[in-house]
Parts: sequence; C-alpha cells; structure tokens
Amino acid sequence: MKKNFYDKDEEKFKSVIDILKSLPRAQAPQNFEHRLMTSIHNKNNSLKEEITENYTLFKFLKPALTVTVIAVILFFIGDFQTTEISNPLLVEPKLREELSSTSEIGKQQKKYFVPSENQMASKQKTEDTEEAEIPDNYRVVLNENDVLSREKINLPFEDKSFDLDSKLRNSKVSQPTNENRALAGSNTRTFDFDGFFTRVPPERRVIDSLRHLQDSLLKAQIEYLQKIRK
Amino acid sequence: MLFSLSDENLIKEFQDNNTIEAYEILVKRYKDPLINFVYRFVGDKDVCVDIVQDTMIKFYLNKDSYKSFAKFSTWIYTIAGNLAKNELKRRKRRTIYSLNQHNEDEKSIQVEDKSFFTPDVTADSSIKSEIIQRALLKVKTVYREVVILRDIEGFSYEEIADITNLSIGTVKSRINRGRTQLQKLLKNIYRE
Repeated sequence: MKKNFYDKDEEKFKSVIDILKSLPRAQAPQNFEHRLMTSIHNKNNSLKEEITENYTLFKFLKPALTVTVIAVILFFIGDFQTTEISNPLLVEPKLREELSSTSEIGKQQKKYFVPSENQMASKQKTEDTEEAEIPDNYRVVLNENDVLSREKINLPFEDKSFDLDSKLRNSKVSQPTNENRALAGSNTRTFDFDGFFTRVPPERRVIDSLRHLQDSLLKAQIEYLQKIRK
Repeated sequence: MLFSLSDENLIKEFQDNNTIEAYEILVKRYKDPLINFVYRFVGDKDVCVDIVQDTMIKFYLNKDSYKSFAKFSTWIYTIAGNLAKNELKRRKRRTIYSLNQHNEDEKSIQVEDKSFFTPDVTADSSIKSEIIQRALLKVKTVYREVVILRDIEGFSYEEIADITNLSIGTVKSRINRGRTQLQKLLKNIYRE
C-alpha cells in the first residue's frame, strides 16, 4: 500500500523529476586522476613520515629523560641547600665533667676556663695550693700533661683607665664588626662562634652622655680631694 | 581483463592484492557520477572536485573498511555525501561569522562553464539549469541529498537508505518533502 502511495507521488512530481533529470551532468576535470594520484602519493609519504616519527626511540624516551634531568638538577640544588649549619644557640652545652675527662683532654690541646665563671677551678685553687689570687687579666689553662698553668688574657682594655673616644674611634676603623656585639649566652668566650653581630653606628648622644659622666666623675673627685685637704 | 569485473570484484582485487589498476578503474567509473552528485548537493565546482578527490583518497587509504556485503556504489556515495555535508556545515559556520553576508538572490546568473558539463548544453539551457541548481540549493540539506540521489543519480529507495543510513520510510518522506519544496521554487520554470 505504502509503495503505491509513493509511486503515486512520483507521478504527482513528474514535472519536477523530469526537470531534475534534464539537468546537464557535471564532469570531472581532465587532470583529475593525475591530481588524485599525486595527492595519494604525497599523502602516503606524509603518513609514512608520521608513522616513523611516532615510533622513534627518542620520542618514547623523551618524557623519561626530562624527568631524569629535572630529578638530577633538583638533587644537586637540594643537596646544596641542605648543608647542615649547626646553630650554636640550639646546641646543648657540654657538662664540665665531660669537658675535663681524659678523652676530651686527649682530643683538645687546651681548654680555657674563665676564672670568674669556673667554679671547679676556684675550688681546686683554694684546696690544693692556697696560691695567691689570680689577677683579673689571667686565666687558668689545663695543659695536655694535666698541669694547670696561668695564661694572660688579652682583654680589650689594657689599663683600668682609658680614653673612650679614641678606643671607639680605633675600634670603628679596625674592627667595625666588634662594635656593640650581641653575644648569646654567658659562656661565649669558650667557643669560636663569632656570629649574630648587629652593626649599629655609634650614636653621638651616647658618646656625649659618657663624656659628661666622665667629666662629672672627675669633678666630683677633685672636689672631694679639695675638701679633704681643707 | 579487469575492466570486465564488477565494482565489488574490483575492490576485492584492490583489497587482496593492492592492485592499483583496479583502483584506477573504479576511480574512472565513479569520478563523474560523484562529481555530479556533489556539485548538485554543494553547488560549487571547485569544492566539489576537491570533495570527490578526498573521497577517492579516503577510499584508497581505507579500502579495508569496505565490507563485501554492501554495494560499492552505496559505500563510495556515503563517503562523498558525508564529506559534502561536512563542507556545508563548515560553510554555514563561515557565513554566520562572516561580516560580509551577501544575499544569494542578489547574485546575477552566470553562464556555466561549458567544460564542466557535457558538450550538448546550450547557453539557454545552461541558464535554466543554473536556476534549477539555485532552487535545489534552497531546499533543505536533508531533503536535497535524497532528492538528488533519487531523481538525478537514479538510486533506488533501498540504496538511498543504505547511503544515508536512514529507514526506507524516512527516505521516501524526505524525498516527497524535498520535491514539494522544489516544486514551489520551480513553478515558474515548469510552466514554460
């Protein structure tokens, strides 16, 4: 039934169908086949290139090589950065007993004990020899042969009285880093750490105040002496 | 010897033995019908030659995708039809984004290139065929394709169903609607 319905339609549209059938037929250009074969040849070549490109060893190894190179670079950079710098403030201080033991003495040539801070040394001093008091600018040194000896300490100031201005000026020229150093802990003379300096320029106000203080002390001393004489 | 073989046998020969001669015979057999089909569908001579060339290249490169239970003609027309539809979609996109949209009605009718058509075409009939072609291009794409396949290329409903991957009922209804549209557009011509 359906087929008949559409066959009827073909009759209905006969004029349209005739017009369409009467249309001239388009033809392929003369060089169509030649162009086709050329392009097929070119396509084949490009395909072969693509295939060979896909299966080169370098292409497979490229990501692995990249990762390896990055890993090596990171390893070296990381190694440089992780060089251990022991923070002296965080290092647990050694006990005196440990320091005075034979093993430590064997390792170390000399051990320095600051008299004011070394209680052990002061005890030994009173008990054993009843020696005369050690001057402030001397310290006790424990030698390799277990003999205690005195050694002069190079104090920053030779005499009790000194010229503060000249001292400050000299220290500024020669050792600018030694000015106003902030030392960590009380036992700072026993180890070589020389860090955590704060470079603060000497203030004129501080110098002036010290100078005034010195002058006033001198004045007071003179007045006192004058009073005594009278 | 190969010339006497059917399309299906030729493609089998090409598939099995990679015989270029068999491929060339098939190209010779189908280049003109495909050019005619694509030209009527797309309406551009240069583009239709390119599409048919691409069809033939696809056929060459994907020869193994052809299965022997199908007719070769339906297979190659399916490839050409799909490429033509892609071209039309691309053009549609281009005209949407184009700033210089020209109305096709405003174009003057140009006498067709005689080398592109069979030699018996006269100047008068070429103008007429140009008008028909324009009318055909105004028909919806889905209807146009089946109308061309049926009324210009002469395929059966079953073959068109195979080419377009539609049911026979859909093919028939689309042909009917396409013809109706075309009839309205060409009423002045067939009165003459």
